[in-house]
Amino acid sequence: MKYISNKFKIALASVLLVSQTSCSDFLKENAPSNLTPESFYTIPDHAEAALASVYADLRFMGGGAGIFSSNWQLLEALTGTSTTETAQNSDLNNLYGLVHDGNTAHVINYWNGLYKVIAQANQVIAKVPPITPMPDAQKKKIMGEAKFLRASAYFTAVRLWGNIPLITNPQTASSEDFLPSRASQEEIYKLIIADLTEAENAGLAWMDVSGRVGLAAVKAQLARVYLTMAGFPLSKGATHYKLAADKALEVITYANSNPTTINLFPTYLEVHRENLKNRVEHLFMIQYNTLVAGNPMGNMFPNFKPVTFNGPGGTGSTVPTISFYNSYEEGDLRTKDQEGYFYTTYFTNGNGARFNLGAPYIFKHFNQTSNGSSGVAGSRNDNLNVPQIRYAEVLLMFAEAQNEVVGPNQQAYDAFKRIRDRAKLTTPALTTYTKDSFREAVWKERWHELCYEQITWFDMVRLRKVFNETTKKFNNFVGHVNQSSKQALQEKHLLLPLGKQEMLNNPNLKPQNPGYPN
Amino acid sequence: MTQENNQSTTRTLAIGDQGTASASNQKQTFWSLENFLTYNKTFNKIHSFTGLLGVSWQQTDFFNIAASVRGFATDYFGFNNLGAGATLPAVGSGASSFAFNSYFGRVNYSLSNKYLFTFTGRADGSSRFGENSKFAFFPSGAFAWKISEEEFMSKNTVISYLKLRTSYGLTGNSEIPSYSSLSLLSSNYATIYNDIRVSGTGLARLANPDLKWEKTAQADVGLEIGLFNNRVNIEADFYYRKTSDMLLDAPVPQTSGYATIRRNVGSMQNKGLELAVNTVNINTAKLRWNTNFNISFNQNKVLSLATPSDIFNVGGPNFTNPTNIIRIGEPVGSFWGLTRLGVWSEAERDKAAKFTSYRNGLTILPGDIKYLDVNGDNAITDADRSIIGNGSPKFWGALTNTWKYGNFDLKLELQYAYGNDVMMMNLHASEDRQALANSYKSVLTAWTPQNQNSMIAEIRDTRAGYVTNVDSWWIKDGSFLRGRNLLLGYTFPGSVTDKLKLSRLRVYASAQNFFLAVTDKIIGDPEVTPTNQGDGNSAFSQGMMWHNYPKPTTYMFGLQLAF
Repeated sequence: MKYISNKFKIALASVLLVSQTSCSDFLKENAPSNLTPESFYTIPDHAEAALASVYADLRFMGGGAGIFSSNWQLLEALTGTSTTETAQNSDLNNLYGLVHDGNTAHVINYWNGLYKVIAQANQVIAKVPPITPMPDAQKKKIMGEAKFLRASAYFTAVRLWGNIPLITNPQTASSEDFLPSRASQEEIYKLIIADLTEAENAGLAWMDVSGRVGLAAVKAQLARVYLTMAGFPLSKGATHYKLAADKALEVITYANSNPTTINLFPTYLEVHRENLKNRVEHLFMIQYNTLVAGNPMGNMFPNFKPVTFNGPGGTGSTVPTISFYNSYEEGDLRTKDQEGYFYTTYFTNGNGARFNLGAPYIFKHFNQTSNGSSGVAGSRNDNLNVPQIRYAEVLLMFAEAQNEVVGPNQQAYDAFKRIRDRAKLTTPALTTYTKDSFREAVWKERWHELCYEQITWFDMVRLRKVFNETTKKFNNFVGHVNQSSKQALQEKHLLLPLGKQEMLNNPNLKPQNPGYPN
Repeated sequence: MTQENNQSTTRTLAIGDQGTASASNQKQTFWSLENFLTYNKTFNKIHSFTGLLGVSWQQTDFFNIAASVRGFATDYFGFNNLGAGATLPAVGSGASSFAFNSYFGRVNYSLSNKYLFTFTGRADGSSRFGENSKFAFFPSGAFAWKISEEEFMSKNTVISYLKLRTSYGLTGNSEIPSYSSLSLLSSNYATIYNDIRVSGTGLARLANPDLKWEKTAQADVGLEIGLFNNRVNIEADFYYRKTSDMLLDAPVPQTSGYATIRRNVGSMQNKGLELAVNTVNINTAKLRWNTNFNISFNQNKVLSLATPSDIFNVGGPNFTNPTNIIRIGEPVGSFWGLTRLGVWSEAERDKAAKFTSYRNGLTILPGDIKYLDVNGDNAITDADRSIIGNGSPKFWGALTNTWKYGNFDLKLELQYAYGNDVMMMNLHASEDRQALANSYKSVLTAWTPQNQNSMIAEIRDTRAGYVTNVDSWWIKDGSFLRGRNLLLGYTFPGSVTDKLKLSRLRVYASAQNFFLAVTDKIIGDPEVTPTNQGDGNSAFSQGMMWHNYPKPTTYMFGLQLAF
């Protein structure tokens, strides 16, 4: 290069430098394995994919909460109806001992899980309407499903924490409500009812055996919402008992004329039979299949006893308290080994010789198809769903609400009696009940029929009553001693604490719920 | 560059799955284009200039593909026929890339080869930052004075070389994953309709268009001294580094539906001293003995955080209570937990029973772990947690001696660190869960009525429940002295090599990592690799021991031939 003059070199360099600086797109990023919100949501298939992610996130309840524990145990451990055979998990121990705080993993995971569902649903609700062309019916259905899922997440959250942030739009870091303050429960319920009402009018089929939400589930959820609003803390009383009874009756009326579509299963075994998912009694379930994720209720297996093909692998971190098991009436089919909701014997490694377990365990979520049964090897794939709304609850909601509106009439009695008939229990004649005694009889039936389905805790909070396993009567919430830990419930336990990290990240959430350390 | 990872498990090992096999392949492509101009000029023989201007482009592309399947009728295929597997076939692929673009210039000026000045400036751009902040400017300046070149030093017989140097400059860090600033959706959601997998697309990452370079400003003063004709060389450096706009996947309010945002979270400082001494102790024709000693001191402190509150979700595997904390005024990634005082004794039975149960709702008994109840409320809660250690050493370094005696050469390299804590997460499984997991032999000293002075809880039936919390017992003093290398060699004399027509023939034997002395009861190696590698947060998990492989001791015998 010696023969090139200096001037020329400088000129050449300038050309090189300047020409190359103009490629300002060189540093622009386009992620090849991810879509962006700007490039998506343009055709109906995108709307379906967006909705599928909302359904997918419902599975947070089965997610892990540290060793030997799942998030759903939040809603069981606090009730006192179950206990644990291991104490490896300090967060779970704290729930059982009623000393949970803002660091308890299950509390944090529920908050995060519910708001993730809400955020995913908000994305659908904001992004699907502008998609054109898209068949109206399909759009309406997807919007209805997303609103049902959003309402259901808010319904769980408002009952757990009381006043909570109300977020209805997709978020960016510069969103006004990125650091939201808490909305009143009235406002939250307003959204819940609006969302569920829209879902009710979205043209959904009564039942959807594919596992997507159907009309029966929407109406049943509305009945639940009204029944809850009638009780604590909003105490709306009569008007909302009436709304709850009416909404439940709509489902019952349909079921009565379409008994093969919606009904009680004749036996308890069918409640947890893999091939009867999303039908008859199961109005809505969280979908599980090992293709994506297996059933998450494994912590109900006994502690290291070989009840499945997998040998002695269970944790026993949710097992019935003996006092709750013994609180059923004599002869209640639900307590019968392997026929009801409990089992006290099983087959070695799922299908071998029968052995005595020495204690009752929860059979309600036990999948005999996958774990094995007498002489039949298990399929090893636990594809059982987790029930969210059963027709049995609709009957009991109707009985309870109707009794509050008009007292124990024939309709209410019939609904209540169907639950007891299946349990092979004799029910005293209608005339023997007063409004008060019928009320407690229905509550008690709820405890026994709906146990271990993440429902009992919400009953305790809305009624501010707890079933006393010894007296078979109802104690006031405050002062009731949970039989699992012998700890007494306090006023503060009506609400969960807010997660500590969440409060640190969002100063607008203050103050902490009463009684919990900041 | 391509990398393959293929694995299979036999039917006898993976009984439940009837054998598993997987294959993955990753391809990495890198290119760069650099242009620069240099200009040298000397004026009046004493002014020497060097100038440099440059520009560079770099890009790295990744692509990976992976497949796995279970359920084989035979072990014959290994991973060579994935199609023969029956159940749960899974496939995946991914691609990413990142690019750099830099413009830089440097001027060196030296006066009489005694006073040396350097100025540099570079504008670096990385694709990984936000739309608004791809580029940042990093200037630096340095000055050195070769004092030994001065007239007044020429007669000094002790000091043979003396140089003072000082510098100040900015550097940048862009070590974060690609696409950290973009708003992204994930298409890896899956739900089930009709027992069929249905994939979904939903939220993945929160955009941060303002994401920018992490910058470190460093001031340094150094001295290089050569004594006795450079038989002794000393190099000392004092530095102060202030890192601002630290990059972290920082937590956000989860009401947004997101857990974190990649952001510039705050600033921290490091200050320290580095000292190296090289000596030629003996230098004769027959025997030569060199010693090289170095030591580094560093102190780290968090100065500010963009989130006013502490940051917890960093460091450990996070399956239990938080393990690490980032708090203003403390070293980054300090360990966080309860303080274990020991185990409740029989004499303390009544005192223990007063505690709200932290073992499965059961009364706290003699034999249960006893924690410090900081606020005295007879309950073990978060209020009782505090900073219990730190993974960074107070000082560290190495001492190397080499001897050459005749045809023999011997090298001894020692490595040390002092004052670094190690959090032995292993103890969660291997001491606390005595009846459920394989334990360390230390559980043989667990509490018994006869042996009440123990740090380990009584061994009980599994149903009695155990207690496991991140606590001070898991924190061990990780100070160590390691024999890094011992090497003995023999070089054959010319009389031998000539006959063999070789120019050089040497044999040697070495032992690497041949001893490790620790001050505390650490099982494994205190020099642990950070747990959370690869996500850019590993700086916050120093000293986190979680079933790491210990370093192997390596014995080597070697033969060197040159023709």
